[in-house]
Amino acid sequence: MAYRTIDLEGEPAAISSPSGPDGRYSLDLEPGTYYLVASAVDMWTWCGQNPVTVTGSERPWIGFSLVTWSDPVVRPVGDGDMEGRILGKVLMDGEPIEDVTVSLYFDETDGFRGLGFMRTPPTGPDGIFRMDMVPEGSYFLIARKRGTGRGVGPMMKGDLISYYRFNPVRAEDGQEIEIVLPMVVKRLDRDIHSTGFAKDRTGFEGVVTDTEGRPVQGMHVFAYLEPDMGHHKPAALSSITDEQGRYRVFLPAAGKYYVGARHEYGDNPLPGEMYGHYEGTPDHGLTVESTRFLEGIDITVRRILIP
Amino acid sequence: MNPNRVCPFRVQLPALLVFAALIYPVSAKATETAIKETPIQQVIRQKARWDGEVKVDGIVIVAKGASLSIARGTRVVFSVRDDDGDGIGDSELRVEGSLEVTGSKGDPVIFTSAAAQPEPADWKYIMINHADGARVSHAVIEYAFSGIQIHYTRGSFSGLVLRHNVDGFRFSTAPAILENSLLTANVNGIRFEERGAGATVRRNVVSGNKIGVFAVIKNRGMTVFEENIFENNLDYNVKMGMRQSRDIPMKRNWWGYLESAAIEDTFFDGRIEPEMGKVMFEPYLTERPHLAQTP
Repeated sequence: MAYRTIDLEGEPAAISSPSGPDGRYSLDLEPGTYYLVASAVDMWTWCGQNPVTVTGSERPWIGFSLVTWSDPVVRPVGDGDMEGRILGKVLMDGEPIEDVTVSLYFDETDGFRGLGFMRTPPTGPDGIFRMDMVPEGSYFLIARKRGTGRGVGPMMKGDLISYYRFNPVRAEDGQEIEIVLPMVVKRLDRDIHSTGFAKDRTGFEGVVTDTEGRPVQGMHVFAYLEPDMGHHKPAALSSITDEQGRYRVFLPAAGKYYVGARHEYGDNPLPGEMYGHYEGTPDHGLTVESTRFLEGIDITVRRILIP
Repeated sequence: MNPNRVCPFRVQLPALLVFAALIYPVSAKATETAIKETPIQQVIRQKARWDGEVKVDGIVIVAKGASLSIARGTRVVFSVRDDDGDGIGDSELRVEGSLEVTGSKGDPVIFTSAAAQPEPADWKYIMINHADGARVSHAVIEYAFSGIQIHYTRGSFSGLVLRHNVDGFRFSTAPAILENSLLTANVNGIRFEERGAGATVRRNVVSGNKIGVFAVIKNRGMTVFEENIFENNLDYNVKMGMRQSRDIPMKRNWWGYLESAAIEDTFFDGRIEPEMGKVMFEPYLTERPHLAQTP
């Protein structure tokens, strides 16, 4: 099913016919931006690529991993004066899972990136998480486990994620919500290897090399709205470069972006880290028009403070 | 500290602190509403040499691999323009290649504001960021937001006068050497975040600033402060940032007093806020050093 808004309200813009025995489905959509979900009886899942932009010239391959959801249990706590509480368990194939962080976001303005409004510490072996003193309000709840072991950074192929089925979750004073979050495996990176990709998206791509011209694998390419890049959250970033140093950045909108590449994600770069800016313009800026995908945005990186 | 000391600045300090708050951190909302981009006046792509009087109106960039040398007696005058409306001047010298400033004691290189009545933050800064290197000797740098900012770059700075700036000398992740210099009448004489690379600060006079040294965050004692004079700074000789939890060694400096209790009174650190680290200032100099090479 394809919805126009993230809260999945109203009638879907389109519904596919039921998938066949091999799980294949097909969904015809007018060009536009959609939120895709899949459901079957008591199973449901959110598309990890949401929001999905559909253009007239491509037919993207988008897979879903269905998981079973149970209804939340809501119960009063305290004397009604205390702020709300959200707690529960994260599961993978029915088993509790550790090192998962659960985050609350007010909205999707930043694409659910960053730490969010609240975030739990990593779960233990029992998979239990708990957030106390949640102010009354509506939140989007997402659980993640990154292979890097870090609390921030782009989700990569093989990482685990759960987008809560009943988002946005409503927290009320004096009320506890207990939920179970089934995790799914991220199957694909939205990167240079994306299938069904057409170059009427807004973005850019290129190759990251070292000063000897050799491709550098494992780099992130960042696009910032501000020229003093390090002080801000990036507007967009690539998944890591492949063995040929290739990357691809999808931008949220047309505009001028300042472009850099580094090996790590989060906090400031440290001595020894590979780092570089796009040098095609003096200010490292790149102006991208809507539905234009620029090629050849190559970046040279070098180790910080290492001659 | 003496509350009756007279502020040396022409503009009110609260206004300068607002400037500082505006530059870092900046909210996404604020930057999205930036209305005008400051023009790039010049890009130096190979070798360039400045002498006489040079006017900077906008941004001058020394590109990676290029170099700019500035001869003694040169006056670099930055126009006052605030394109993005954040209250900070936007003319700047941005170095990603290499910078060599060669003034002399009697004939320094001057970096200043074009205003008839100049004020701190009339222009933005000399920004040396991910650059090939910098060597600056005998220069006067005044009325900037930051006199010098150096990040991710090696550099040496000596014989400088940094005055009437918001931050006189600001560095992070930069094994820079600052020596034989005078930092005065700034909001922060020195502002720094080591972030994995320490600097050397020696034989400087840091006096008459609002705060002598502002150790913001992520400092692990890698920076050497030695044989400096820290005295008569209006609020504190050293101020720790709220998240600076480690102690900072600053031994063998002159602090303006002979008694350790009086010296401690010039710090805003873990002695006041237990979550912060402390300035480890002992042993300290008991005689004001004679710094003959300092302007």
